[in-house]
Amino acid sequence: MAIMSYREALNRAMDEEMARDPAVVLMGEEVAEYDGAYKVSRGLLDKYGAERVLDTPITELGFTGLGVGAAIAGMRPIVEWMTHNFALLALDQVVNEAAKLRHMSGGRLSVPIVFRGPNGPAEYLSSQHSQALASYWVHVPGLKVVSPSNPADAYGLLKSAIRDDNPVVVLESEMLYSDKGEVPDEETLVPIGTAAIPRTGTDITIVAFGRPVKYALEAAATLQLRGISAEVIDLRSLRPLDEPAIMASVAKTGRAVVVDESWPAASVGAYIAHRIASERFDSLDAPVAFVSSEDVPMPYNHTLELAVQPSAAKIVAACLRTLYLEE
Amino acid sequence: MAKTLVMTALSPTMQDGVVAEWLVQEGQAVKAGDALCEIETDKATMPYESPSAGTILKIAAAAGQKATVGETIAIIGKPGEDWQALLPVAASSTPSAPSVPPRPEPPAQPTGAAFPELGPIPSRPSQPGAEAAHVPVAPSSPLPSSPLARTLARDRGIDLRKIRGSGPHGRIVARDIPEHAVSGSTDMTQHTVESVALLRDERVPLSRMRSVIAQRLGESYATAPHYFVRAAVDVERLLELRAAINAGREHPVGLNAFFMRLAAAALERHPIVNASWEGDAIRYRPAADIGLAVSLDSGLITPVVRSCERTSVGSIDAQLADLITRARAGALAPEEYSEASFTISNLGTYGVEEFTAIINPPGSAILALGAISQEAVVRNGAIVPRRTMHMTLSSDHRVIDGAVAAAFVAELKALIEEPALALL
Repeated sequence: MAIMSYREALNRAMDEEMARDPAVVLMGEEVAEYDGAYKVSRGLLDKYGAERVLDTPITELGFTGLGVGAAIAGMRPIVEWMTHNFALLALDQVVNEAAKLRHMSGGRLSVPIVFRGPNGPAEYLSSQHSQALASYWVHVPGLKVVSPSNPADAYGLLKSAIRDDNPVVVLESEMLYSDKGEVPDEETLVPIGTAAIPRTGTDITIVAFGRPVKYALEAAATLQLRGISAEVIDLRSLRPLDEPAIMASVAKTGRAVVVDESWPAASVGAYIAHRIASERFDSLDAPVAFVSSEDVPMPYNHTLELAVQPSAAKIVAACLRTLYLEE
Repeated sequence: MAKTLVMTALSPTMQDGVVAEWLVQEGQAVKAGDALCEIETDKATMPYESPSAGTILKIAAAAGQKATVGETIAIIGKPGEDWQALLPVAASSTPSAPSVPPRPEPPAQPTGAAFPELGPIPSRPSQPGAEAAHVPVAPSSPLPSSPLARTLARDRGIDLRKIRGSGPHGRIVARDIPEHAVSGSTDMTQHTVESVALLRDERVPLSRMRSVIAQRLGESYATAPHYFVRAAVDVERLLELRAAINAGREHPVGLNAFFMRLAAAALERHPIVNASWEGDAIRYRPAADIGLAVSLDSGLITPVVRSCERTSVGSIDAQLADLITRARAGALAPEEYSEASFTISNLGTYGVEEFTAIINPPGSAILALGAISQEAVVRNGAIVPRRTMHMTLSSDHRVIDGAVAAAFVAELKALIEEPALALL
C-alpha cells in the first residue's frame, strides 16, 4: 500500500486511465498549463500533450457542452469544474443533455463523460463559493454521482467513473485534497453503487458521504468512550444509492443519524432519512436524526462559517438524542 | 465566581420539582432573567429564570430528573472556572449514572394554597433507563412508543400498556421492553384478554397531581369540622337577567360569573364566611377572592378571580375564560390558583341534583351547586313550574357557626332569586 494524498490519488486515476485508453481526455479551466487550480492534473499535460489535456475558456456551459458532444462522438472526456459552484452555469448541458440522451435516443447514444471538481465548503470563501450542491446532481435520473471521502476511494471511484458508459458526477472536496491515506499499489476499481462501512457497530448507524465521513468517524470514536458502539456508513456513491447497506445496518442498530454538509431542505441526507423511515419503520427506536448545515447562505465570518456546518460534536449530540441518552 | 443554581419553591406547596426541559446548554452564556429550563412542579410547568448573567458551567439535574427545593440543578459562572467543588456528589447528566437516587414523594404541606393539583403532567421517568421496565402506567391513549419497541413487544408477547416509557413525553422505547418475556406463554394469553377488557387488575402509582389532591383534601376533611347547609333556589329571575344581558352578545356571560359576583356580595355582608382558620387566630380576608373548581383530564384546579366584590360580572366572566383556557394548558402561575378565600364547585352540567364539597383551604367554606331543573313549586297557593337549583354550603365549624352559615345561605338565596338586591 502506498500512502498518497487525495489529490495524488485522483491524479493517478486519470493518469492510469489516460494511459490505458486514448479516448480519455481532460478539459477545463487551467487544467493544462497551470496543472489545475488545485493541482489535481499536475504533469498530465507534459505526459499526454495539448491534444488530450485542454485549457478551456472561462465558460462552463460551453466547455461542458463540448465535453458532452465529444462523449457522444466516442471520446471519454473528463470535464474538470474549478468548483461545483461554477458548474451551476453548466446545468443545462448536464441535466438536459448528458442525463437524457441515452433515454431519448432509445439507447442509440451514450454519454461516457466524467464531471469532476471540488464540492462543498472550504474556508473563507463566503456564500457563493462554499456550497454543497450534491442534490443538484443526485436529483436527476440518468446521472451517476459519487462522493469519495478518502484517497483510496477517490482513486478507485474516479477510475470506475471514467470507464462508465454513462455521465458520472464526481464530488470532490477542497478540504480533502491534502488528506493522505493508503491506496492499493495494484490497479483497483471501486464499483459505483456500493457503500463502505469504515467502522462497524451495534447501537446506532451514522450515514455520511464525502468530507463529513471524517466527522462521523470522529464522532464514533467519541461515542466509543461512552460505551456506545456506532456504525459508520460511507455512502461513496449517491446515485445509485446502496440502500441494502443502509437498511441492513439500521435493521441491526434500530437508530440512524444522517449527515449531509449541504442545506437541509431537499437534500440527499433528507432523502436518505426518508428512505430509512420508509423501509425500516418497524426497526426504528427513534426518529431518524439529520445533521446538515444550517439553512443559511454561508457566512464569511470564520467562526460562523464553522458553526453552521456539521461537526463531530453535532453528530455526537444527535446520536445521544437518538439513543435517548440526552435531550 | 461560580455559584450554584438551586431548585426554588415555585409554588407554596412545592417540595420538589422535575426539570422538564433544559432551554440552555452547558457552556452557553445567559443574561439575568433568561429562561434556563422548564420546571414541572406539583401544580404546573414554569420557566426557571437565571438570577444573574454568566455562563452555564454545568447542568447538574438532567431533563427528567427530580430535585428537592434547595438542591443544585446547575452551576453558573465564568467560562473555564472550576466548579467541581460546588458539586460534592458527582453529578452526571447521563441517565446511566443518576446522581440523585429515587426517593419517596414527600408529603405536601398544608401551607395554604389551592387544594387541587393542576396541569396535565406528562409521565416522565426520574431516572430514564434505570428501572423503567415492568412498571405499570395508567391506561391512556394513544400510547407513544417507538416502532422498534412495538416490534419487540409484539415478538415477545408483551402488552405495551404494562410498560412505562422512558423516552421523551413518556415514549416507550426499545430499552423499556423486558428481555425475557417469552412469546406464547400463559401470561401472553392473559394480556391478550386484558387488552380488550375495559376493566383491568392494575395498580397505578400516584401521579403528582393525584398525591397532592389526596394530601390536601384528606388534610382538610380530617382537620376542618365540616357541616352542611342546603337550600333550594329559584333561578327564574337570574336566568331572565342573564338572557337580557346576553341578548346580542357575541360571547354570552356564563352562569358561574353571576354566582361568583352574587356570592361576593353575600360575603361582604357576612365577612366571617370569607375568613381563614390560622390555629390561634381567625384571619378576615380583605377581598372576596373566589376560586372556581375546574376539572381537567388529569385532576382538577381552582383558578381564582380576585376581588369579586369589586368586579363586574362581565369582567369576572372574561377572567374565568382566560384562566380556564390556560389551566387546561397547564400554564397557570401559582398566584392564579392559590389563596382563594371562598370556593364554588358547580357540577350542574352533570345533572346532579345536589352534592357536598370538601373545603378548599385556606378558605373556610365552599359552595356546591347542583343542576338547574324545572320543579313543581307552591306559589300563592298554586303549584307552578319554576327553574330551581339546589346549593349546599360546606363550612368549617371552627370559623363559621351554624347560624352564620344559615344566614349567609339565606342571603345568597335572596340575591340569586332577586339579583337586583346586589345593586344595593
